[in-house]
Amino acid sequence: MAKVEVFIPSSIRKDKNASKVQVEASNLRELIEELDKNKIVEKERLLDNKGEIKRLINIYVNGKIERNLDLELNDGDEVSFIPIVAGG
Amino acid sequence: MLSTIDIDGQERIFKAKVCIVGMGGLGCPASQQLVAMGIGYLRIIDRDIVSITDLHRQHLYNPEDKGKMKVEVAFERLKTFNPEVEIDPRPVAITEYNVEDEIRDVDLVLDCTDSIKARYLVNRACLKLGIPYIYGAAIENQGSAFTVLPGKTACLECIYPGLKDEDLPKCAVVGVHPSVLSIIASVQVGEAIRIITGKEPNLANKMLLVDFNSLSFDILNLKRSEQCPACNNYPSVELIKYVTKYEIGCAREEQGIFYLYPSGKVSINLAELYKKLNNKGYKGLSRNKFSISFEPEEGIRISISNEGFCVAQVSFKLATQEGIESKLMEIYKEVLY
Repeated sequence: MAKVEVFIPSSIRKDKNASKVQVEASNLRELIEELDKNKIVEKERLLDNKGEIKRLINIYVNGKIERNLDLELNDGDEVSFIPIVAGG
Repeated sequence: MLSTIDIDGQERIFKAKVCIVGMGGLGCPASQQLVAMGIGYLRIIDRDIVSITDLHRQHLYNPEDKGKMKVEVAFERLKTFNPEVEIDPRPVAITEYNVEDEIRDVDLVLDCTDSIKARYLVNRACLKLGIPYIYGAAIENQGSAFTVLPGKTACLECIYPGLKDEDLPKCAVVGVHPSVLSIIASVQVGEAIRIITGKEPNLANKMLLVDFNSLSFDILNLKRSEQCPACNNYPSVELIKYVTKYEIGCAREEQGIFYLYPSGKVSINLAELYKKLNNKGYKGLSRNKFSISFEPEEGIRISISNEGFCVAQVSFKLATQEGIESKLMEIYKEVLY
């Protein structure tokens, strides 16, 4: 289990007071389960019905884009779940 | 005098050349600010026409402008704000054929479009030409902005890779809060002024996220992606010898909108075209500074710009009929050649 810092913007967060939270998880899939269990964000906001990350949500691990939910996490990693904004 | 700009900065602003791609909800407020601040040269690019449904958020236009090309109207309005600014209107669609020509020779580009395809093209052209690129976007109550310094920071495709327009929600469908657009456009202008006045932009390798619903502003740190196709390849944009291309825009106000554009750079003599169309006896013929509009038949209204870009507004009945594309292509070719 790695201790990671997670950022979720208010637009998709269930708990409006928790923009940054510390979560323990060994990979991204587990991390999403933890966020759901702790009522920080519902996993349906992040995952599609096949259990993959939704097309319009990007995950950044330490600032780099990542779509592999099995990615192993390390202590101190920073993970962000960001809805894509592309209109104009 | 604002201490963060000072006299030297003001002189740099007077000499700066900026290009805004997209004169919609972001392009309108961004252009108004830059022109009012006395930017030296402003190039405005847009393929679209004014619709009534634009007016709540695109404040350069009013109901009388309905059906006119946006850059045509924006050019006239912006001139009244500050006649000292050189404004270069480009009524064109950004395509792989013209993107480099359209953004060449400016100090920076503000990406204010609503199409990810156009955004990718502009991002790649900016990387290739070494032009700073300032991304702005908004939808519903959300906004985002970041700045790309070619070769130094994460680019659009590092941050948002592999997107397609059909996957993305449209402002015309889900809506967008006009205030979010103003906030993001202001941030883009702020970044532009920082670059022009020789300062580091605040949003290099960072993304601003705005949620207007909860009034929260967050900044996310970003890094370049080793796998980024745009950063790694700097692919050149090739000219493919299609005669013309067309694409179908979204239906609005019970109309179909069709865009047609030439594969390469075209310059049309509007005076001669006007004469030609007049001789053919087309109805509704009107000549503006950068475009001509006419009705080749009932239910079809065509606007064609001096760069050969064409918007056809077609009645819903005709737009859904088979063969409408080829009919429009015929009219387009007849006008062009």
